[in-house]
Amino acid sequence: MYSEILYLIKTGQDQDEFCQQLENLREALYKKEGEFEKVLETVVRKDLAREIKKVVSGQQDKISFLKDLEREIKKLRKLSLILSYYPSEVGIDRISEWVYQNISKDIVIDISIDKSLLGGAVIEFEGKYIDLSLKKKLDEYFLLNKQKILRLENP
Amino acid sequence: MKDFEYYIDQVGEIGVVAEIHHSIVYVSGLPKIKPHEVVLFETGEIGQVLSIDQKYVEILLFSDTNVRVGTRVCRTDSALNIGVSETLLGKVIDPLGRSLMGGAATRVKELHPIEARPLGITDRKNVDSFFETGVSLVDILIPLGKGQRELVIGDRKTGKTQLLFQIALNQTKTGVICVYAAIAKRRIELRQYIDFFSKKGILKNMVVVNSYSSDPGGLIFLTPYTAMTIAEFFRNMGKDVLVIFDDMTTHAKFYREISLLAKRFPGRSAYPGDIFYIHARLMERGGNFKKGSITCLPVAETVMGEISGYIQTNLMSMTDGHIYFDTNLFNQGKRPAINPFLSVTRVGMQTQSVLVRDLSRQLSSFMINIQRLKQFMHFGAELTESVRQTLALGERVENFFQQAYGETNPLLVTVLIIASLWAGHWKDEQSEVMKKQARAVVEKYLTDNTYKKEVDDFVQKRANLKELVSEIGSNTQLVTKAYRQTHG
Repeated sequence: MYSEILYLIKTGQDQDEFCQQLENLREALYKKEGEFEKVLETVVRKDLAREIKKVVSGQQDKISFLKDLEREIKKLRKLSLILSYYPSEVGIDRISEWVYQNISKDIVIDISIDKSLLGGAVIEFEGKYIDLSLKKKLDEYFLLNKQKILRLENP
Repeated sequence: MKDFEYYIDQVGEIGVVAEIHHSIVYVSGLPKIKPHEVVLFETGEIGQVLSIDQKYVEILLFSDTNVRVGTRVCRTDSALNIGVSETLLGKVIDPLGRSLMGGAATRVKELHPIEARPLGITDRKNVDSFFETGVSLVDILIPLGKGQRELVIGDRKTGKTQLLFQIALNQTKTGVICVYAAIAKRRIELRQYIDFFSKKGILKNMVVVNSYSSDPGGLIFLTPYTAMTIAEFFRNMGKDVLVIFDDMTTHAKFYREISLLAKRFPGRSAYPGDIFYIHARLMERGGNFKKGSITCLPVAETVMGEISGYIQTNLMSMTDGHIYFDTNLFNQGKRPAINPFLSVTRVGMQTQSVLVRDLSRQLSSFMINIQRLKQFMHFGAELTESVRQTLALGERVENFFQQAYGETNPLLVTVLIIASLWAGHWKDEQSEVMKKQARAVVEKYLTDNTYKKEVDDFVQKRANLKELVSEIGSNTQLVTKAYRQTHG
């Protein structure tokens, strides 16, 4: 039931944004008639609103549905990606799609920037850490070839 | 310890601080962390794993700088170790092995884990060597042996630390290494201790492991374990080591604080259920071994003389006796204010020679009789001549046992003086005169090697007290020449 909605969540930012919007929708249910639809049209993201409309039309208990959906969204696990640049929307989609297909369907990406990495990425997921950055590769290279490099300076 | 980047590279695991409760930090992540493993924060702080949960790892911080939520943490994949080496002698360090007195960093020979299993039975032997404290009252009536664990217990400001320093002074002169664990002391106190040790020239045979009262609870908690680890290093080199834990009641209080912050269920007096184990596993690492010995002198503070407190009784049950400092005796001006009737030594008697044991037994029963007679005197009954003489002798013996701070009385000269008193040597002298003359005998013994040899030969040749007393009775010159030469 929730898989199409969960598919829309690609990053940690999306996850937080969706949770906030679901809370707004839940609050709207306790207000006057028509408030729920108004919030769905004006506040909620278009793609989320479309999917919610599809599902909610057949639902009697909207409150439980929204609560369950929020719980499912919070269960999504975060994969932290530290990059040296902020990728475009297309880039994020491609990374997210790859993770979805190759690792697991319940993972979202949390991107942060560290320009000192120069390139590549540092990946953290559920306590595991792997540094695949260009900075590390260069450090290793320089360490391995220290003597050679020093000889270049003092021939 | 290497830096954060190194460990994160090596181990490949990371955590993030989720919650902070004073010195207890909860970290998410670190999937393969082990209990008691050391972790490193990206800001440089060190911590140790207390417990592991499904969601969080509970970590005890060893520094007081504020860690923030969101700080990254990495595993070091090692237990808590400290660097040990002979170069630690003369140094004042914190429980993590860092120097507190400035200067160059100590060059480390080996890394030893702070938590170690005590050696088993096959590596141990009976307590069979006498441990001379230099305090007559202790050496005769509450004798200690090398490898004994003896608790020093009493109210605050009754002279416990002075006794310990006296013992350290006496023992370091004979080549024993002394490790002093100062637990949660004030900075001014540390300064005073170091000045005392330096002035007496014994700091070079000592290692001081210090934690200040302002240090984080985790660091204070480690202090006695670090001291014991250093002691084990020197023991493994074949040396005899004296370890002083000053004091264990404060240590228990800080462990209680840590446990309550870590939401452990409080037991009696809010102490955690494992408080006995915390101290027992430390005491069990002391003892007499085939390689060397570790003599432990833990200190326990009482309130209003209450020795039946929780921590006090715990410590009494895991040690081989206790030396009790009585506030009433202190208020009467007695120094050291040790109550020999309420003090116990479980393994010290077997280290005494036949003569000294004989003297100790006779003296103990004599002093008990004196106490009874004094109580009888309250009724105002008339005293016979023999009772008066007995009381006079008792007064002289008690007077002799009064020893000023810094004065050392070697065992054999103590035996000589007491045997002389027994023989009636000073029976016609004033108590104060006797005290001065006895002091002169001790001084001569300490300074004149010929006289020392003479006294040693004389005392050691006697099989029992009766023989010694009879020989002294017929040969008073050995004693008189010491103070006649001094006083003319």
